[in-house]
Amino acid sequence: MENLASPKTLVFEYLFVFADGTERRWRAELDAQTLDLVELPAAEVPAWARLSFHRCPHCPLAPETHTYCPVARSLAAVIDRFGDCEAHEKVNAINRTHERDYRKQTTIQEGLRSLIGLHMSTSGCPILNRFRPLIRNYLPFEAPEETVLRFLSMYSLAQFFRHRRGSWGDWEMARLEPLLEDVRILERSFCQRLAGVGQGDACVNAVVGLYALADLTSLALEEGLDQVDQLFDAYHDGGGSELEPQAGEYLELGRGDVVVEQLEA
Amino acid sequence: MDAVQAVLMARKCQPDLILLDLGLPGGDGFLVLGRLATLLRTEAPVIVLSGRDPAENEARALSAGASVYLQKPADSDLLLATAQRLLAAPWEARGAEIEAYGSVAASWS
Repeated sequence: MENLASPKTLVFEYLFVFADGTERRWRAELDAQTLDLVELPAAEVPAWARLSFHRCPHCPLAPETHTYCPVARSLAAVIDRFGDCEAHEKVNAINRTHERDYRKQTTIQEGLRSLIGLHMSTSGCPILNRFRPLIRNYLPFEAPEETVLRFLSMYSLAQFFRHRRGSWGDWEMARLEPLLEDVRILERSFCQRLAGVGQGDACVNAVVGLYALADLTSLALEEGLDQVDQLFDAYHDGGGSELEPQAGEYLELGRGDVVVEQLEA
Repeated sequence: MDAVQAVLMARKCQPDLILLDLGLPGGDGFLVLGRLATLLRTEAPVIVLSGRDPAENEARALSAGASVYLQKPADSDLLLATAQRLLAAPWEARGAEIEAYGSVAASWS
């Protein structure tokens, strides 16, 4: 593997070693600032990548102006490389970034879930763009509970930045479930798009795995995030009491030059 | 669990309902369907839940003994409703029920 240290780009290299010793590699390079893919691997864009083919029912893009689905176009070469893999094949999966290596004995399905999720989030799809911040603290081969916590953390931080810029912040996470439903609709449509592509089922099952993660997050929301809440005991029941504003204290909300509020004594 | 283990499990547990993928190690879902029909002669309904193209696999699965073919990822409400209706159907009426669900599966594919 090459030296991946680079200030301008984020490089994600994947290596999958199968039980028979064969290897398959993948390399994705993102602009470190915009998190756009620097360049898509050279490959002929297939017919199944056309926007009109199993187009998502809620897709805001018009076929007249967008010939190809950005997700499909981003994944075309990935599907070309891994389309013959069977979901259950065991692999030693390695992901290398400029910061560290990750390794996991898993199935190619799970390995591809990580890789495909990376491409989907950075593809330029207007629905999946909201997942793009997750890429900056990308965690390959993560457990479902880790995904849920990482996603909820990202969404909460997004509300903070919205609030700081003067927009409404969804602190109650009331808009989260519709966002997750949008993702599920997209992933269901994309599975239909992929169903007849390739000989194996690893890629489509990888997308199904992403769908299941959206479902799991919805379930956590339905349950009031109780299991996640337990992780924050240090902030409850007196813990973190120093964070409480005191009477008469000036509390800056967001940037000090935007909003200053005096609490009632 | 591989295909052979799935058949052994079905024989041991005598399930009321079987949820079956087509992509399995050690065989595939069609092998399981065949063994269920010829060796176990189970009457438990089988819902095939697969990411594979229904145009190429649905008819084959239904003729091999599956009750319903749903494409992944199936909406959880549809999956639950399908399972409930299959379980609620009297044994003698299950054949007709299966036929009706074939159209539901087709509309989803």
